[in-house]
Amino acid sequence: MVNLNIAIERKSYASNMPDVLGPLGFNVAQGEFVSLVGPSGTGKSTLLNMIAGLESIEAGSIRFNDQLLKGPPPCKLSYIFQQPRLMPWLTVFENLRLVMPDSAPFEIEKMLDKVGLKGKSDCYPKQLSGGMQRRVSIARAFLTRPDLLLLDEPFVSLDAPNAQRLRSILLELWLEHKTTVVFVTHDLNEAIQLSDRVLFLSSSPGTVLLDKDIDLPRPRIDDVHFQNWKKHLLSQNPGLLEGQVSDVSSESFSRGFI
Amino acid sequence: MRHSQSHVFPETGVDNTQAAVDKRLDPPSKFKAVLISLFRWLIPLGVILLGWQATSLFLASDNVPSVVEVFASLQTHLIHGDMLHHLMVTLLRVALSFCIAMFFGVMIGIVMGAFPRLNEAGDSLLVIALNVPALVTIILCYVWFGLVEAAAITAVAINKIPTVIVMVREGARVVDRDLLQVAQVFNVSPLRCFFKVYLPQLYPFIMASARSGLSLIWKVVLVVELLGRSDGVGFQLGTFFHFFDIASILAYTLAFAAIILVIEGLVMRPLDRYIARGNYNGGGPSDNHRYTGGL
Repeated sequence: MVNLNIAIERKSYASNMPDVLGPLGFNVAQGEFVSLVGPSGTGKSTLLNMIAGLESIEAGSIRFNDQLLKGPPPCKLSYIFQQPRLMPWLTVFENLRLVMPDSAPFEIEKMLDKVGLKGKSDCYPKQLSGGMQRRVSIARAFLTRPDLLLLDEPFVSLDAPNAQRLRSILLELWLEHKTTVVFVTHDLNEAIQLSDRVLFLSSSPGTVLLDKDIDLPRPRIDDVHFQNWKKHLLSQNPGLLEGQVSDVSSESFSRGFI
Repeated sequence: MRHSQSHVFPETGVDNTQAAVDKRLDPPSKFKAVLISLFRWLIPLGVILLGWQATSLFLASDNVPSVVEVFASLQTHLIHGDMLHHLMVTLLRVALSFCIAMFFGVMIGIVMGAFPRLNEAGDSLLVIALNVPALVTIILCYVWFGLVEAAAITAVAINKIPTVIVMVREGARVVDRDLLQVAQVFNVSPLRCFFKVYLPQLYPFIMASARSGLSLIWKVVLVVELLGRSDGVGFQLGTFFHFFDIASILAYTLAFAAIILVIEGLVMRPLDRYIARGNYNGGGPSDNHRYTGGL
């Protein structure tokens, strides 16, 4: 299990380009499900890639269990990308096998069963629908029993019932494995439904506008309480989803900084 | 109708359903489809042979032997001559220089595609290597290393390596970074990553260079044999040239062309099918895994 401490000062892709991330800091506790919500282009994916060790950290630090991140992350990490990113020349089974070479075939079959892909292990990704390919990528992410799971808008461009089914699969697996999760989305409903805590990012360069615990009881359904909670949040913080807040509370800003 | 279509033009249909269509096919219609495709293949061949025979009869010249004469010569060489020996020798040279050329070509191509600086440094060298005539390398190899087998094989391989490099380099340039990131994030070992994630993306390019390579190499091998070996198809062709034995020259050509056809059918086609498994086409327009990684 792993907790995260993030304290980025800034991030840009080149010295002559504007920053994609501004000063930004927060903690993620062990087993916590944290969502990052913000308009597109605020560097949410960049932040995830930095945590995953795919992007360099120029100024600032990321700590895993108080250990400074240098190079590959010091824990078992899984990443569900925006696109399923399956190897088209490997079958579903081989795709899962790729990330866990030592796993027994029955474990892989069990995982496929859990995401509702029983009997699809010999199919190639192109033979599956978009939703099924995403399920394979969810299965792949949980098969390695990760300490930290990163998700980058995994349910975008899926039809509503399909997305809902995959969300509940994700929640089930999260409850079972008790993984630390960082979830990037621009869909507030999704964030409220799934996470323990939601961080709102400003428009570019991204900084944390608001750090909000979600104290709704689980399982959460889109009912009156849910809508009231959301309405209350948005009325208190107008412009939150557009990435602008007139009054940035100092409390939320300092929370994760050392 | 639908059945026979999907059989005759498998490359135009969606390959996903190919297996399913095959299963649904009842034996008679499948047989019919095979027959149709066989006829499509046989008719042009028949027209050419007939045209050839008619021309030679019309010209009635010793320099244009008829089909019958050529096949008679082929039979004599196969049964009474040592054609099989010469074919095998040539084939062995082709296979050896092909393997050497592919190995070095793929390695250098990957390195040049992966490192832009090395690519810039090697680019002009590559252009020169591409344009050195085959004859020059052959003569130089024979002069420097002597009229030995190793010199012959080296000369052929050197001729082929640059074209392999050029094709594989293109593949290595457009390798999907997104998929490599998957391997990196999930901590896939470098060896597994190379063979399961990286190399499969190059297979279509390697395959294309192997295809063009086979045809180029066997032509160069014949020149090498003509100039400095005392066996092989090239040597035999040189001998027949001295005697103006056109029928034998055509018989040897036919024999080796037939071998290449068999290799194409038994090795290249199955390899093609293996590489295209999962409907992977090397990043063509239908490959939706590419260019989709958002911010």
